[in-house]
Order: sequence, then structure tokens, then C-alpha cells
Amino acid sequence: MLEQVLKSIQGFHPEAILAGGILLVILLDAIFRHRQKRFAGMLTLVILAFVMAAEVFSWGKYTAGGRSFSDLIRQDTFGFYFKMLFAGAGFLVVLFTELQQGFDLRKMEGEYYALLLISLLGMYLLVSAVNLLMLYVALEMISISSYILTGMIKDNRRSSEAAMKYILFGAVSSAIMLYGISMLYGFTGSLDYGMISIKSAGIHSAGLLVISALILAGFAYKIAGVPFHSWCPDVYEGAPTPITAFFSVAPKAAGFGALMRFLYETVVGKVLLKDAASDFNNIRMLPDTTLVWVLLLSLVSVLTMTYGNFAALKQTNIKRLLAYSSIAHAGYMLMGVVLMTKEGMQAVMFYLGIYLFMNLGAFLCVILISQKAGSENLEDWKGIGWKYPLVCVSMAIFLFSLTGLPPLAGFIGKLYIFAALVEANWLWLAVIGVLNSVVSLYYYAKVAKIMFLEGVPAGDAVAETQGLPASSAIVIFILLMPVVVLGIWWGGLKQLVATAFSVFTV
Amino acid sequence: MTAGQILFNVVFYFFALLTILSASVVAFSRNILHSAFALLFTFWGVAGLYIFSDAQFLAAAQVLIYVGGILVLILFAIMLTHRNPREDSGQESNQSSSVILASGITVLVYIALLAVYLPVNWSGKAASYGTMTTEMLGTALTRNYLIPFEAVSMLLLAALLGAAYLARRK
Repeated sequence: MLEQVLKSIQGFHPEAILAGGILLVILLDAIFRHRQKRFAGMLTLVILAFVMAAEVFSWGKYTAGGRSFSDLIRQDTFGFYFKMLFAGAGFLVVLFTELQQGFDLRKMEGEYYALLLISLLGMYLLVSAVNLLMLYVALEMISISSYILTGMIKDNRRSSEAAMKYILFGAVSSAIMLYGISMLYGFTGSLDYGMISIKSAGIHSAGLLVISALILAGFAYKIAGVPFHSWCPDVYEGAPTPITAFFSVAPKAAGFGALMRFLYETVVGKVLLKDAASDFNNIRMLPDTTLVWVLLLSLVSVLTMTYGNFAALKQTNIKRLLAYSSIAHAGYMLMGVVLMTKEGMQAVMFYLGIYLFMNLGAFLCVILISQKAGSENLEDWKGIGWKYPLVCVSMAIFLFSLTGLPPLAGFIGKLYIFAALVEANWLWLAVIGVLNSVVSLYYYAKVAKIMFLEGVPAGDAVAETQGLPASSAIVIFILLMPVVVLGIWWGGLKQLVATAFSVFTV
Repeated sequence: MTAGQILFNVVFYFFALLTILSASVVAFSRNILHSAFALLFTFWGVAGLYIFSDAQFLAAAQVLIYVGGILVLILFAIMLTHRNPREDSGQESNQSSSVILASGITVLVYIALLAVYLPVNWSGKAASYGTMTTEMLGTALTRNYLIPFEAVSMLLLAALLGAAYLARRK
């Protein structure tokens, strides 16, 4: 047993570094709390850099694949892709936090960064989990730290209210999911994905439908899909903006990663099993499980993108607007999952990679612009584009990329999803997706219009380029580069996704 | 039926009834303090049911954690936040739309549960784990389930950090 654990730890270096880093942040913060100089941000950056390096060095072990820790988690290239996304998002969010002026971290620095890292560790475990127990514990790890991060600003009523709502919705959806898991365990007698895949053939179809719907509740909550989205706008508005940026990307990617692994191992895996299986009784029930999930997912997908886009139309607060936009994006990405094919899921992974840059970029611009405008309300942003052209033009580029306009990266991301849909003859879903993109153009363009076309300063007051520190400009550039470059040259990312996904082709 | 079996059944139905009745008091009582005290009996009832499922450790943990910890916490929270805890909360949600929605969802949930559980053939023999469940649990936690066990410790660390931070004075 001990040898097995020691062997498992071999492929577990990134997580081990992350766990050690969490303890280090807490410990050093407790010792040096009274020093004037802040260091936890820098320390967190170093830890995340080490984690990413460890990820890259573990690549060889990942391609070999294999389950570790008594078959509870699987360290493979699929997980690698998502873990790099999480670490990258975490790294950028730490930078955002340091760049945001007026966000006083002095009294909570250690807790802030430690909780951020714990939430990252939860995501690492979530995308590797091939066991429902592990999945649930990882899910709760992300949730608990997220609740506290939301309510970090103690003297802000809105922040506390958002945290409260987040806890309530989170507790309910997590309980619903747990109930589904308990039913699945009752029927199949196992929490392991592989065993569930084989045993769930015996569940009658009504049970399958209810169980799938209950389990989907937990995933839908994590990715902010309708009808488990209602926490999203309030939390995005109330949380500190760097944390909002983090929530809009990392937990969503984690939810998608876990959902795709779950589906591929328990549902799609059976379709693949069909060719190899000798026991006809196992196959007889096959279409049922797939059908139930496709039905539920397509319904949630359509509802999520349509609701997100239409609710975003009338928003006046930029953070709320981006919250609804992120709901809509969860809907777009779910379209790829609905297909249950390699192409569809790869398109989702590809989109998530691009979404990381464009959405984080948009939030960084929100942080910088609201500092200048003194407000997150769009009304106060009139004509601000002429005062701070660099940030506002970047903001416009990120927003147009989110819309999916060529030649930006967001276009390529959506193109792959729609192409996969058309290829699989899901024309009606593709049409709904395209129509939704058209609707989204309205509110994204509205922000650009407010920044540049309304309240234009008269005369020579144009282009006053002061006020953007070099550090902010560099981070914007880091985020802008992939959004522009991936729109023209995306082969590398596509290749990476294909390699990462290759673990599932049996 | 032998005398032992009769006794077994009587005790089982006692715990089952205790759980259901006290749970309905929790849900229907207008006084939040009554609900909290009724919850005590629900927890005891559930602990009893755990013993019937051969889960002795779970039963003991249920009593220690829920009755000893969480319930006391709930009572504290009520005492500290309500000016007069013995008073009826009095807030009757008369909004018919929310009542209709709530009852609609409840009915839907019941139909769903019936659809799941009715077609199942329950004739199978229940698995028995004997009396060594605590030992088995300990072994499982430190061997097969080592990684979730460690993950839970991180989860608790997060909760601890958050509680200490939120409770701290500015």
C-alpha cells in the first residue's frame, strides 16, 4: 500500500507544491504580519510559477497516463491542459490584485492569497477526479474558498450580501448534486466512473433521467448555467473585481473539465465500449444514458445562452453585464458538450483556452477603467475612450473577441464549436447559437459606443494618454497578444488540445 | 417472528417515527426555537437508523457532531440574533405565487422520486458489514481514500481561515 502511495506521489508534484505553498503563505503571513512591506502576492506568484513548471516537467508522466491514489484520480494530459489554465488564471489574477489601486489588502493579504490557492488546489483535484467522492470533495473545496473570497471586503454591504447569496445557492445545488450521487451509488454500488459506466446500464430510464438531472445541478451551478445561475450577477458585482475575474474563468473551466471527464468516462465511454463489449446485455441500454444527457444538456445550453444574452441587454453595471455575458458563454460552450463527440469536446477545450485570455482581459480593463472613471456604472464611462485610449481600445478588442467577430480569437473558438455542431447534424442548435451571438453583439458594442461615441470631449482635449502605469500596460499586452494572434494562427493551441484529449480515445 | 425480531421491529419503527415526526415539527413549527429543539430528536432518530444499517461509527459521529456541535451552534445563533426567541416568527409568506411555486416544485420532486424508486425491485438481500465498521472506515481513510481525506483537511483549513478572518475585528 505504501509503495503505491509513494508511486502516486511521483505524478503529484504540482499539487504537492501547491499544498505546500498554501501552508507557506499562511505561515509567513502569520510571522511577518506586522511588517509594512507586503510580500504574499509575490510569494504566490513564485509558487504558481513553480506549480506550472512542475506541470510541464510532469508531461512525460501524464502522457503515460494511469490512475493514482487507489484509482481516485487520474493524472493525464487532459488534466494538464485544464491545470495550466487554472494556474495561468491564478497567476494573472494575482497580478490584477497587485495592479488594482484602492483595493486595500493590508489586513487580509495572507488569507486572500491562501484561499485563492486552496481554490486552485480544489480545481486541480476536480479535473483529475475519476471518483464521485473525490469529485464532491474537490467541488466543495472550490466552493468554500470562493464564498469567503466573495465576502472579503468586510465593510462593504454588497460584498457580504453577495457572499451570503453565494453560500445559499451553493449549498442548495451542492445538496441536490449529492442526492443525485447517492442515488447513483445506490443503483450502481460504486463511486468509480468506470464501474458506474458498466453498472448504470441496469438503471431504468426514469431513474436515469432524475439522477442525471440532479447531478447536472451541481455542474450547472459551477459553470453558472440556467437554472442555477442566479447567484452569478450578484456575486460578480459584490466580489472584489480581481476575484470576479477569477470566478468568471477558473471555476467555470473546472466545471467544464469535470463535466466532460464525467461524461466521457460514464456515458460516452459506453458508446466506445459498444465496439469492444462482448456482453450484449450491457449494450442494450446504451442509447438511454446518452439520450438522457444529450436531452438535458441541450435544454440547459439553449436556456443558458438565451437567458444570459437577453438579460445582459439591459444591464447598466459593467460587472453585471460581464456576469450575464459569462452565463451566455457557458451556454455556448455547453453546445459543444451536448454533441458528446471528440470534436465537440475538443472545441470546448479550445474555446476555454481563448476565453481565459479575452475574459480576463476584459476584467483587467474594467479594473483600470473604473479606477479612472471612479465607477463601474456604464453611465460614468461616457467618452472615457478619448481620455484613456490605450485601455479602452483594448477593452473594445476584448469585447469584440467575446462577441466572436473575426479576425479575433473568439471567432475561431466559436467557429470550431459551430463547425462541430454542423458536422454532427445539430443544425437547429447551431442556428440558435449564431442568433445568440448576434444578440450579444448589441450589448458588447454598446459598451464600446458609450466609451467612444457618447460624450465626446470637444476640441483638443482628445487623447490625453497619461495615467497608465507601465506594469498595467504590460499585463494588458500579455492578454491582448493571444487574443489577436490566436485569431490568425491557432494551430498550436488546436494541436495542444488534440494531444490533451487523446487520453480518451480508447 | 421470534421475540427478538419483534423487539427489533419495534425499536426500528420507534426510531423511524421519531425521525419523521420531529422532522415535520422542524418544517412546520412557526416558532424557530421549537424547530431547533425538534431537530435534536431528528438527529437522534437518524443516529438510531444508522445503527440499524450497521454504521455504528456514523451513528456516534452523528450524535457527537450534529447533536453536540451543530445543534448547539444553531441554538446559539437563534439566541444571539433574535430579540425574543420564544416569540413566533409570525412571518407568513402569503404571496400566493411563491406558495404555488413551492408546492409545484414539491409535487414535482415527489413524482420524480416515485418514478425513481417504485420500479426498483427491492427483494435483494441487504449487505451486512458486521460490527467492525469503524476499523474498516479507518483503514479505508488512510489507504484507499487517502487523497480525499487529505483534501478534506485542506477544505477545513479554508473554512478555518475564513471563519477567523470574518470574525476578526477590523
